[in-house]
Amino acid sequence: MEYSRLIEHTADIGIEVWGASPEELFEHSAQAFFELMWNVPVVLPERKFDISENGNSYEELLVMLLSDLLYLHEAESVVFNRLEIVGLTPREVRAVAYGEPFDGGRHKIKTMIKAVTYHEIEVRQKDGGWVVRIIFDI
Amino acid sequence: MSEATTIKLEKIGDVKFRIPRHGKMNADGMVYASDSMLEKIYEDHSLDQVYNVATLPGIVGSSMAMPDIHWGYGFPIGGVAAFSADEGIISPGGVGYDINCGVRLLRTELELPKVKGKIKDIVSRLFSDIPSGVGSSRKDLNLSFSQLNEVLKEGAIWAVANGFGSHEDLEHIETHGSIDMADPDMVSDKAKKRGKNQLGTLGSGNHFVEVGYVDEVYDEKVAAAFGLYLSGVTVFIHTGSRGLGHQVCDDYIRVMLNAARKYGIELADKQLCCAPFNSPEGKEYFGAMSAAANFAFCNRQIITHWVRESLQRVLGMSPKHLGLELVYDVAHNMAKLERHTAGGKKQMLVVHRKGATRAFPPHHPELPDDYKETGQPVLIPGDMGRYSYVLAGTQKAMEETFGSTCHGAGRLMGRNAAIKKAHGRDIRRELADEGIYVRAADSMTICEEMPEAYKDVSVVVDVVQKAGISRKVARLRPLGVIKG
Repeated sequence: MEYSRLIEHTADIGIEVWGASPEELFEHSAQAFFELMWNVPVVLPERKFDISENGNSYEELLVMLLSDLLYLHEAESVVFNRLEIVGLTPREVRAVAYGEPFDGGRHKIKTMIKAVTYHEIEVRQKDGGWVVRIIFDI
Repeated sequence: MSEATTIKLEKIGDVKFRIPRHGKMNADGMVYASDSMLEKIYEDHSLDQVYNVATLPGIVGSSMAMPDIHWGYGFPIGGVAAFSADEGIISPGGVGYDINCGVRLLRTELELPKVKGKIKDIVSRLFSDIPSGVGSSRKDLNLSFSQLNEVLKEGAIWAVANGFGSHEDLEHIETHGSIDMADPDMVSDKAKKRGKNQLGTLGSGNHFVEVGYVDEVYDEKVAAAFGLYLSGVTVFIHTGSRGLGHQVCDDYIRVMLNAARKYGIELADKQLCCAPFNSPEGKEYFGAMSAAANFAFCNRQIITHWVRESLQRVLGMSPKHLGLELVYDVAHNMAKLERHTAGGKKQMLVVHRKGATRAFPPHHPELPDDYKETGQPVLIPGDMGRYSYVLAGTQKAMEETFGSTCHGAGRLMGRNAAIKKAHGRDIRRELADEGIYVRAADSMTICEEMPEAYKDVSVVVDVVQKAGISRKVARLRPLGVIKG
């Protein structure tokens, strides 16, 4: 089953993501985020990046997590192919991202994202699963 | 995002609409628009955003929207809101992620026929000299962290001191290209690391360098004072604070979410998070934002130097004969501490302009001597196929909008919608047929940024002219564009 869909707004872009649990929702969100930014299938899981954040809600933690991935991508010049949630509560997230250094010969950047916004973000339960909408500044 | 707004506008002038204070608003809303724009404005949620901004503490005057208003995150794009420096707030969402994204315009001594046959060479040269797109940077500009701190403290002054441009340039930049309240220590190491290799780069998306010419002059005297004349060749540069600014905004949204809770500020939307301007959090953000703004001023100054070098090389002309001088440099996304008269008294205000331009009137003390009689040059880029405008600031803007006006055309289509629309077409060729040569790091960018994806900027400019918050000076047409 498709776990995400693109939401288009005039000046920005967003994703709507589904997951069976909050953990899966976070993992799917990261996956959809990666797929928006580069060609994920050719990225190799050569390196491991540990990420952890504290916050006040799932919404804050999700924005922080994706922002950390964006930071690593831009500052450390890496691309990712997968993210695994190691621990998640509404106050803390611990995750491991797998990826490799950006290689212009193999990797193609599809969308450059400036930031992950908090705009109208809401993690909620729906039809026995979890859903969220995230808007990006591009 | 799909439901229609419930906000009602009350027409109070030809191009002016009011949202009367109601509900949780602490002030009226004020929207500058023509009747024909209303349908589109009602469609998105930007009026709700004008309402939300009016609920923030310490707002002075009204929560305003310029005619290029569209939905943003938190504050609308095209939003202007001033808050009392004593009792009001400062909000990263009122500035945006691309802090001090802005434009500068250069004029030349060249007339159109002189460059017509050489535009491909000029654009190709600019494309190879100015880094654009993903991860590109010049090998001859490698900053240490201590140099980066100097850039954050000094802005364009650092660039000039290091051989990029002249002291005359500084006179023609908003705030002389340097905000003295900048505090590099308030910028995180993450932001510095993200931005360190991005100084002197254009970035992606709607950022560009555009060679054009003056195709219409509305006010010859003012145009002449700006160094503009019919058929004179110009260069527009549009970029901002790059990853450094994005990270500063991101870092401080985290800070402000906690601060809003701490100070008991009720938020209609998380992205409006803020702190009292006078609180430690408010001061820290202001110091960091000003430092990021300095990075952007310095960025545009360095790129200007390379534009000059590129044109000198391609045309084989000396700097003097080329006359590639800075008309002005304006910021689009900023919060600035300014003195204004509001409610009958002079007071210090934190003016947030998000996708809006400062437009100071004649004789304002911030203007350089050569623009004292004309008012501040206001630069309004359009899309890459049609035209851009040069306006001048007015006294009425000072009285009504805290010296602010519109900033551009605004998008009409989303990026994917534009790509779909461009499917099966060769946009680069279509533009070339109209005499506009375009280079981009990624061909998809040309589709996303095609002229039809934008509103007609002349409609926006007509509204601000009618409202009297700026006046038309000249219109420019593009000849060649490099896109990030």
